[in-house]
Amino acid sequence: MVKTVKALGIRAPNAGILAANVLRSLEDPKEEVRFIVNPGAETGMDAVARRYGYSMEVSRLEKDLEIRMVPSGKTMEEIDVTGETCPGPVLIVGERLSALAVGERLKVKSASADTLADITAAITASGSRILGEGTEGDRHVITVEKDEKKEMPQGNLSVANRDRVLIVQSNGTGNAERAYATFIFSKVAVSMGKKVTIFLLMDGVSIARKGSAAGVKHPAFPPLDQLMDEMVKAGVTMYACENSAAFRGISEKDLAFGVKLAGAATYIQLLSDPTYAVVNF
Amino acid sequence: MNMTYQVIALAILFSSMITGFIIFRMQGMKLAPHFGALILALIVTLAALITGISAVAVVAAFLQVIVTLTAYTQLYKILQDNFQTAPGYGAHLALVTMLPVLAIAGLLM
Amino acid sequence: MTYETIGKEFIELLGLKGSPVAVKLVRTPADVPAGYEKMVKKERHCQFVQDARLKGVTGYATRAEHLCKGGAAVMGIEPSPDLVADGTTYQKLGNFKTIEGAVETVHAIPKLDETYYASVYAPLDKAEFEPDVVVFVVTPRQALRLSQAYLHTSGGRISSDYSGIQSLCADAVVAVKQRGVPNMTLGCNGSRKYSGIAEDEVILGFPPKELGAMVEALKAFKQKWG
Repeated sequence: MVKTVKALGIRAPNAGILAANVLRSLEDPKEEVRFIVNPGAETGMDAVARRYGYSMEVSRLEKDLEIRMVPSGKTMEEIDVTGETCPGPVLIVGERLSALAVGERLKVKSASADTLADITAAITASGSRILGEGTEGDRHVITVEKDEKKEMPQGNLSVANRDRVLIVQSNGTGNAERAYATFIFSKVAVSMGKKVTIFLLMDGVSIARKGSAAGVKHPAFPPLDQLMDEMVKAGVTMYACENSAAFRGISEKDLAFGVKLAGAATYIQLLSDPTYAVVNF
Repeated sequence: MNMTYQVIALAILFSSMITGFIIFRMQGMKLAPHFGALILALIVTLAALITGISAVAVVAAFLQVIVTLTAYTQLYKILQDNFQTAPGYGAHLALVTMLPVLAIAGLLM
Repeated sequence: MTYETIGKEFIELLGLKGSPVAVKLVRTPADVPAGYEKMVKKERHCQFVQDARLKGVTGYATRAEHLCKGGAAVMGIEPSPDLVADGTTYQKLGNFKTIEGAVETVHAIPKLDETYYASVYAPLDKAEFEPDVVVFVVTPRQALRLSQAYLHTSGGRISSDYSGIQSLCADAVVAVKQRGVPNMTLGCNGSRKYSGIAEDEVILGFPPKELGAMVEALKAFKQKWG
């Protein structure tokens, strides 16, 4: 947990007095506290930090200073994703990051710089920050600070800040690689904080038939029905084209859990919504 | 027993190894009874031709029919709903569907 | 000790005029304490505090009930009005010589980053909720006793910061809520004009968890000092 105390306009030594009082009054002694002060106000804060058993880090935040008081003995979490195959690394980091509070930090290591580049893309898309990068032995390292996505100001749809992904799938159980792509991409998109909708049409509706996905297996992933179930439970909306389904003798009662029938109008509406990034498989 | 039909069956089984591998990848590399039956049928058919023993030829014919049956049981669900992708399975299905006729012809003629 | 007891003890031990006021900020309508009604009249936050203090009024105020947008904004109930945020308002009001000075102050004002649905008020002895902050409007002597009571357990010093604007909202409520430590403030033109903070009164905000210990301290002081 990280508590932020804005203490602008307060000069030394008062900033130090305030800091001491804040640290003393903390409910959770393991809590990190960051004070935002004007340059110059940090004088005397290091004595306060030492006195109460914290280590102090000072960094610049535009024209202010951030003084971070970290309880001594607390270390930043580290994870090594070397050897995990995509989308493993992104999902692992996404999961750890979601368990952190805003302001908390995480170190991610990998033997592959490309993997870290991929993770960086996912992290920045979800609002968190990369504080630094480097190497440690044979590992590439990035330090991540959790932050929340800032709300876009109202009425700003012209800026392409698309938080929703529409996956259009016209291939089905007869093409395992493509069928899996539907859910692997959903999984990554969900872990990046996107809202995902899947639209199955033509052969894609074969995935929606109750029991069919269970028979599809890719060597690197769990059976297709498990992935589908996982995504439905994670809040992904799944539609099956009415026409394609009817053509294949699939009716509403034949649909797997979580899939709804939809018509062309729904499809066009989803496609035309500018907040959706559309991908076709 | 006229071995000509078995020779043709062998040619088909041999060709099916390739088409079978192609659909194996389409299905997500899932090892299934059909592929096992295919390999077994190929070996036994070859054995029948080399040894000339009719008992072996009968087993070979039986296995060839199994190959066809397992192909359909394995692919039924896919063929039922995947109109667009079905042609990708066409070559393999065409080949294995020839086997029962040849197997029976080999036995009767 | 319940807040009812604590509230009454403070009034008696200090000879307070009115009561300490429990203030809480809630994020959704569901978080409003049961039985609390919306304030009837649109007023400023400092007026709501005084009404609770002097008239025993309890209730909550959403964006619609807050008359002063500056106050509502620092409490996260309303987005900050542009003219306040860019310094224009306060410079026009005469507080600052330059617009830069106004901006500097507005930039440093304690302000909540999250959005809140409403502010809830009650005299402390009638509060049926856990407050974020308890606000005292007191004479300097009473403020002295409160400060001494706060320091009674662990000693040290109290640091207070204020800027002469947005006193009861930013200094007494927001700062205390964010930091978890008390703050003293001297009121502001708005609160002294519109909500009747008197000539001889100052304002302190305290986090609720110290109040029990403070009451004990005041009792000890009474014994020792009379």
